[in-house]
Amino acid sequence: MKTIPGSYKPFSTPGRLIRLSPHLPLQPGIDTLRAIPHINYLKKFSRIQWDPSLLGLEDTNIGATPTLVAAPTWALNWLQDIHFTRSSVWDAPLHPLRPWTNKLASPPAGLKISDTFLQSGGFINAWQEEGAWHMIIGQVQADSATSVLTFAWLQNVLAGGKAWRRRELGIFPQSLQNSLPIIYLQLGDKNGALRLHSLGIPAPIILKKNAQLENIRPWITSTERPRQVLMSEVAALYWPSVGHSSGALVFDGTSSGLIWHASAGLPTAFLGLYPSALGAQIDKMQAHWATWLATHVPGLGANSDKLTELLLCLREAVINADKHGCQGRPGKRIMLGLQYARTGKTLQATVSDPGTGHDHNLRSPLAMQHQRMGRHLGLMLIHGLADRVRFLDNGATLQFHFRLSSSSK
Amino acid sequence: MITPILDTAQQTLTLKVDRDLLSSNSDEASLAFEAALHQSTPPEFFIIDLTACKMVDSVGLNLLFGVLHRSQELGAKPSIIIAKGPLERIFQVTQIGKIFDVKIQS
Repeated sequence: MKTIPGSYKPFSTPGRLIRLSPHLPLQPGIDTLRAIPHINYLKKFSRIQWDPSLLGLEDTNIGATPTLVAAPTWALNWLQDIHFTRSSVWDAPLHPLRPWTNKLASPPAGLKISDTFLQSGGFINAWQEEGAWHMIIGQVQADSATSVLTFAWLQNVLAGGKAWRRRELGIFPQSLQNSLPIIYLQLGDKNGALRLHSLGIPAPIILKKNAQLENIRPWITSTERPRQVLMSEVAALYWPSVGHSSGALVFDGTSSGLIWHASAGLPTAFLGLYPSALGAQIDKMQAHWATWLATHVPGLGANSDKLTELLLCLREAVINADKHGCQGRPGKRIMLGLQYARTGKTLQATVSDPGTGHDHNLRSPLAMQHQRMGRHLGLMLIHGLADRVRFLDNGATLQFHFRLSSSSK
Repeated sequence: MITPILDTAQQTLTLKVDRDLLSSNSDEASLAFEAALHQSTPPEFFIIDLTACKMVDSVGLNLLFGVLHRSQELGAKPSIIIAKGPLERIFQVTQIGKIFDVKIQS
């Protein structure tokens, strides 16, 4: 048995080729297929069954163009059912893959995928292994070079074993993390647990309740009803200090992002996950923060000066994360966490972006010159208004604290 | 968003801002400021009245700097009026008072 160069292993189950995404430019014809690097090394593996109908793409009139991935047959069949029957972007009247109708496994109950997601270039790949469903859900940007890398990576994941997949997720290229929100989730291990790992997004955005799985962002599904998130899942990913709990975070979806806040009895906390390229959404987000803060944090009255200062710091931090960490482009995520500690009466705010960070020095001569001209005052505001500020993750995460007294004005 | 008030006797043009100066309305504010500045002959005194504002973010501050510098170029002596409250802290932190005249309305 041959091995893929590097740390990859071939999959044990013979697979077939399937089209997965329309974003990889490809002209019909075998020669073009052979020119794709990742196809070349896949062809070395005798266990791969090549669908003959794909080798001659002259009959394919798909508008957008295909990429090819090897995966277990049952997963491909199910995937085909989702993509090619529900996506108006990828469906072609005489698609050569349509004859695949033998489903060997059923998708997880309750999984909904919106056409909006599929039309916007999303992809979902799923497979079942040892009683557990594995899925990779992602959304690709329009850059074709990124798409090639993305799907080369994806097929390697499918080609690997279970342990390999986890290892590969850990070394997911930063360049792709920055531009490609991907969630890998495993439903139901031997203990029936739901495990989520999100790449580029340090918090879960897939919810499970009563054995039903629902993706509640509009780019996955249009459903936006409140759902519960297991506290332990969020805690494991974001708030290690919170620990496992029998309580739950209640999802409170808004049009500007995914929001969770802790239900009664748990630490007062707020987690917001926002899509990048905020635009005027920042005002809605700020209004939402204002309501939550005034409601849940003692000492922050609805019209208090302290609340205004805090909101300004949050606004500046999130705008900076969008502008610099996400380059103002859509398809990325900004995370905001608020946690109120009753002992010490301190509010901690954490804003993370998928950028590479910075080493901005407020006191450098250039920075001070800018400040005198009224430029780049955001960080200066945060440093001046908050009680404590620090940068984590090489500057990609900003954390600041406000001390609040019961008589905060 | 910006209401210009010209006092010819006092040679003063006051631009009263009726809402917070933020990134989301900075384009609108910029156009309004520019129009107001060019509406009348350059005054001796130029005042930006922010007493109705509770929050000015970094984009709004940058806009203010630009407008105030512009007024100086037109030969006016600029100043800002703010109300007691959050803007005091914001201006203190960003040291605008060291560059422009800032008055606090009692």
